[in-house]
Amino acid sequence: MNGSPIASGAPASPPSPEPPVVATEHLVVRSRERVILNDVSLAFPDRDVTAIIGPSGCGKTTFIRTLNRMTEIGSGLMVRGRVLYRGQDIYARGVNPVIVRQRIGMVFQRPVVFPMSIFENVAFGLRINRVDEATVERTVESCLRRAGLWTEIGDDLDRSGLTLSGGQQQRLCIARALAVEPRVLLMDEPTASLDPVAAQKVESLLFELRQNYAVIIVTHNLQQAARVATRTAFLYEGRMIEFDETKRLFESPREKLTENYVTGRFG
Amino acid sequence: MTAALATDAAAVDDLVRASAGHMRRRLLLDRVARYGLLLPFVVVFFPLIDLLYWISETALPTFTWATLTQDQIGNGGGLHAMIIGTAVLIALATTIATLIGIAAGLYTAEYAPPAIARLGRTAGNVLAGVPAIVLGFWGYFLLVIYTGWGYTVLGGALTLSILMVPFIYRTSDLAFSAVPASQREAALAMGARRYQFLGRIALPIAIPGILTGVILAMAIGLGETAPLIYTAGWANVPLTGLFSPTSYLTGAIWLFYSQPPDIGLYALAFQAAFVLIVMVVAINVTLQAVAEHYRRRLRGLFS
Amino acid sequence: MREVPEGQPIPPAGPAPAPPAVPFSASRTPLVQWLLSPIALIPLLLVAFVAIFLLWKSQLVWFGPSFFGINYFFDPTGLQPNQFGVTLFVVDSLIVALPALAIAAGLSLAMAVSIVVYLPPMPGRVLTILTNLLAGIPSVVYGIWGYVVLAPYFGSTVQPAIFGFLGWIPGLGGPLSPGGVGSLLAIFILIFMIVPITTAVMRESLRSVPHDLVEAGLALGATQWEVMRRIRLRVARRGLWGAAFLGLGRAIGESVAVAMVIGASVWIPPNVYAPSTTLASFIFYQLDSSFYYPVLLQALIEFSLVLLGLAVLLNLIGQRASGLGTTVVVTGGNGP
Ligand SMILES: Nc1ncnc2c1ncn2[C@@H]1O[C@H](COP(=O)(O)OP(=O)(O)OP(=O)(O)O)[C@@H](O)[C@H]1O
Ligand SMILES: [Mg+2]
Repeated sequence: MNGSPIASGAPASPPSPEPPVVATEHLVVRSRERVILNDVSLAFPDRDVTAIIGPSGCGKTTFIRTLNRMTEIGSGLMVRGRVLYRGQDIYARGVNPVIVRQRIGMVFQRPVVFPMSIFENVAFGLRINRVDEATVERTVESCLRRAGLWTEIGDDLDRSGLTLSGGQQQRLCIARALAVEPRVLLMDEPTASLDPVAAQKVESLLFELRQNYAVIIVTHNLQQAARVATRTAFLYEGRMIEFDETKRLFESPREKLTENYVTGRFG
Repeated sequence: MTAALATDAAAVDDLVRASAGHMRRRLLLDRVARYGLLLPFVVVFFPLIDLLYWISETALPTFTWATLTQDQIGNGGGLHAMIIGTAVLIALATTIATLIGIAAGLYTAEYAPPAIARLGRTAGNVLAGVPAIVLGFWGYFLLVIYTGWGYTVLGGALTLSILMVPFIYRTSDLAFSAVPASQREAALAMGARRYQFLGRIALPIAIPGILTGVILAMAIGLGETAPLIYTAGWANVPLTGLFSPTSYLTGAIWLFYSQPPDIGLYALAFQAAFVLIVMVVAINVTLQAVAEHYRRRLRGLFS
Repeated sequence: MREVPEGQPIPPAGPAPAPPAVPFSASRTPLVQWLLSPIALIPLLLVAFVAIFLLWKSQLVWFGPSFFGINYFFDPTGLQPNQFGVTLFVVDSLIVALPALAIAAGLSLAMAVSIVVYLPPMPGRVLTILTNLLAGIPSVVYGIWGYVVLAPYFGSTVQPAIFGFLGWIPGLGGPLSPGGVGSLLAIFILIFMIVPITTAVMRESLRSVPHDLVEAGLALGATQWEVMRRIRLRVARRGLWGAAFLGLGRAIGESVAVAMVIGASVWIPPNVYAPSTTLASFIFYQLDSSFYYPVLLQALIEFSLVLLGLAVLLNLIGQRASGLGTTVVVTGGNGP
């Protein structure tokens, strides 16, 4: 774009307190026409929030979708390289994507509410696992509480989930993902369609979630990344340009591209 | 860095050996569905293959170029006039039925008040249940006697189109109903009028579904005899206009199958069936390709 | 229809239900609606037209020997001079149509799920063409095939086999029908004629389930089968029932093929193997002679009316049973 060289090779990831729970090694994702992600290696620590930033179309969504094998579903994309969950390649033979997705949950950019009651929405992941009714009720309540929805709608769980407001729907989706008890939560711009107040609620939820989960969040909002993420990765045109502690990345980026992006000179 | 990451036993447990107990049952059920649901294809297509073989067995040995190019003469000849008759009948009937079906489907899905919509849908289902011979009878009194036309291609096509309407109507209705609300909201939010939304956005989304109905209706229309017997008449030479009587392929089957097998006409009945099947497959392949073309754009919208 | 609470932002996208259909901008674009509404009512008008025609042709001999006479509905022996007990034929029609529809719908659902959910595109397309081909095979051909090829086989093998395994079920007990013709063969033939209709409509309905919903289900660690059961079926419910209703028409209305294989006995058959006669096939048998016997013609026309009535009735019962009149529509569109 501005002619600066694009960093090659795998940049070192910053030291992290715990071993990574999810990591990619030389990940390449391509469509029939072109390469969408080129040689991305990243490691995500447990019990922490990591942000992924980058200009529109750089491959952020594609990246986190490969982390729980959502790319396989009718997208026509090919995945090369390895994605490790606690050291185990999730694309290896003998690994079932269904199990991967139970360990690595996902929240989409736009809330996708099932046409069922609020209760059944949250209980979806439990029902398929034949959890007993008492546990279902307990889990639904605790997940709605953690998603900050309980005080708003706790008395009206039989309502259709579709009648909720946009922000409530997004938090419902988060509660629904939590109910499966994943280790890792992938969030694709979870606040993009929310107003500031609702977005703020989701953000404060993130602070709570980091106690128990590895959260990987895609965001366009640099302030948001600065607020919630310990580490941030910058993707540009399918390449991982820089991955560092958020503060470092924003204040003293090593790469010119990163600097241009975080100072708002492009993107 | 990541290379140094040892594969810990717990993770293998987590992902690979986790498929124990209930999880194993769930995955098994999915696999059973994946392969077990193929069984109905065998149940349905095994007899179909037998049927096709049975038809070809009688039709093909005496099938020549003349079968397609000659008119029927005496106890022999070919299917020329009937092929033309069938092609014209189905083209006319499809045009009429498609126009009515799409318009009615669009109205029912988009404009009609719920009560009318319900009434229309029930009427469509009921119309699909009117026996073809009753329609033929109706066409006879209305389009042959009452209008004074006598036996005509037009009368036959009109009667045939009534038989085809419900299939196109109901599939169009479903196809328009399935257009996601997000598309509507996006279009209307841009200030599009409703008819603009319907024409530019809803129609392209609905086309694959509508085409499914058209393919189905054309197949059914091609295979019907009863509505034509009393309306289109019969002629051994190709039709000369919309108001001339005509022969058609199913009529050949109908008239000739009871002939003694050693007479050429018996084989002609089976050859007519064979040509019909080829026509159905050709129409299918063509329209399906069109539907696929539109469906490709819908990737990501529908499953 | 969803109500958007006042002051709330309109929930974005996703599988939100359609906004109310009538209010918006209806006053500004009456033209399209005006143009469409007469064409759109054509199916309705056609049914009315056919019914009125039949009423007219029956010359309204309501209280004549054939219609509404007590025997007309209840004559258990069937035909007596100038008396045509319709109940019998209605029962026979149902005995043939309902099992055929049920089996066809089951097969179709399985095939539709297979094509939409599990199979790769290319085999799916080929199988789609093959199912459509079933629709294009002329009824007469089905009839001859059934009579010539299948009937002997049914008599010698299929009937004894079913009797052997399932003979304890009421209706599947003996005696068998030696020649093979009878309700069972009619049901078998009808299945092939219904399957293309139900499969096509079911396939389209399952296919139009929003991708987002399916993805969200899978992202929660559900299998394709679980997503199918819990989400797809629920969202596509209206279309799936619509498929069955459309197939129902074929089931009770098909005359030629059924007439050729059912054996034409006028009675309430003791089991599914026995020959019987449906409303539609009876009309087919008698239409030629009816031109010479006015009473018979009237009876046939009234039979057609009864058939229409039966179709309406079964539709209403089906709508009630499927609960389509009461539930919220999910994927858009309006009304049940
Ligand atoms: N299934 C697909 N087939 C072909 N190309 C694809 C597919 N999915 C994504 N792409 C392309 O890959 C690139 C990256 O897309 P992606 O959705 O990952 O971007 P993104 O970084 O999430 O952008 P945004 O910030 O706008 O959401 C885009 O150019 C897109 O067109
Ligand atoms: Mg994105």
